[in-house]
Amino acid sequence: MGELGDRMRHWVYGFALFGAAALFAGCGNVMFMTDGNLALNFDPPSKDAFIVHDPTPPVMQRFAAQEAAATASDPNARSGANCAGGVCTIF
Amino acid sequence: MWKRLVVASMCVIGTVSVAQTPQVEISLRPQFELNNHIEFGISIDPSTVPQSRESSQLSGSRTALVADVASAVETGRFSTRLNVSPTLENYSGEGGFLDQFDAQRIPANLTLTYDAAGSLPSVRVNGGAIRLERDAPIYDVWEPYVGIGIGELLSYEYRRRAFDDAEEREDYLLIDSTRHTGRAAFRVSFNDETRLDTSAQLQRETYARNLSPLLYTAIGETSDFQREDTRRNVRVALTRVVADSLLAQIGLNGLWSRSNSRFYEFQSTDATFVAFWSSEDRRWVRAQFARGWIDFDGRTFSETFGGERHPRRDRQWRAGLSSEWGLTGAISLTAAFDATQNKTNDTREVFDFLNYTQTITTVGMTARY
Repeated sequence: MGELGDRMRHWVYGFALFGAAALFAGCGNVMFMTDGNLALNFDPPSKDAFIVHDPTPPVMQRFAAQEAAATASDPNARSGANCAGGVCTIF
Repeated sequence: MWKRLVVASMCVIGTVSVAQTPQVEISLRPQFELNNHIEFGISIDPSTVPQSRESSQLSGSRTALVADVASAVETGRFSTRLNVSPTLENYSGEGGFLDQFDAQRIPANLTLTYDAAGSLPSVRVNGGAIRLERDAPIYDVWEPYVGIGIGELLSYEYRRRAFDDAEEREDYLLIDSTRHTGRAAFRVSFNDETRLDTSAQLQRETYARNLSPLLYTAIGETSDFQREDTRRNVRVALTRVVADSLLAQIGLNGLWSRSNSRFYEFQSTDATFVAFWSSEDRRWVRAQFARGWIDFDGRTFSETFGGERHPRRDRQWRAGLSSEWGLTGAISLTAAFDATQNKTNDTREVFDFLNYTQTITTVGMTARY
């Protein structure tokens, strides 16, 4: 799956170029959201502010909270062994 | 030791509260879990663990009690948050073999945040430690860490793992290490309902030298070898709100692990799909499906003596369903079911234990104060 990894890297580079192009074309604003994320926003609530409140739908807020709690209780982290990317076995 | 830690936590919270009345949150989370493939590093290796020679899958149950204590104080532009979550775990199964993994775990974290309020993103400094003790003392470990971050844009963390008896024992996986992790994240927000989150992480981990002599032989290194790994992780996730209470996410995660020993080099790629339903706080259902590809660059095998060598490839299917359902303002029930199927292309019989299906079923409750 080295090919998949290479393809993924190309997608990431492509998104980065897309974002830069959109920014220069004036299609979006880069701003900090109040949840701490730096975002390229194509539908910003305010075009002048540097930090804006993100009108996130409630279901998305609850999803983010659940994901944060799940990460903290990762079973691989409980084992006490050194694991990398979920690959805990030595074989 | 438990009583001393709880009293110490209360003292710290009390001291912090002198300047301003803190917000204190306490929750208790009892859990019961059934797991048919418990892994603790070497525990599933049939050549090293007698119990695994009859069955390469160790089955058992885990009963846990988690107490979350959190205190937060705001003073002007500064906020302080202290989290302590002592946990007791009891394992049962395999004729008492799993009793050695019974554990007491105490994570503690202090976070200081400076909020510039409209002119700059918040700056966060945090530090903490995790203390883990099991009945089998080889697992006893301290894990202190410190970190700094600017919003979710940039962050750095230093973390150390120090096993109690590292100077006396040789091991396969329970090795002291020092880890540096840097992370950057960026979001593309198409509208209120659709966003693309990306993140990139660079991690460098250096290990101690008390590897087992068998492992030095297996990886072709001398006894003074010190393992150093560099890992790059990239994640992309597209999230869209489908209806008022329904959300879907597709994601791709790639991990490239490089090492000064080819034995530890691998690439891991995961594709995930998540559906999430929630109509109100503390009532949600989550379904997740994932496909994983793990390629070990430096581990090859041949099916016949002297035959062509093939690089090892593992493939995984994963599915999970989890939920929380609030009964009252303070009590909610939790449940989760996860299944993982792992297949390897290594056809040697001694590695057949890598072909397995794991199921984990967990039920629990959360009581909040």
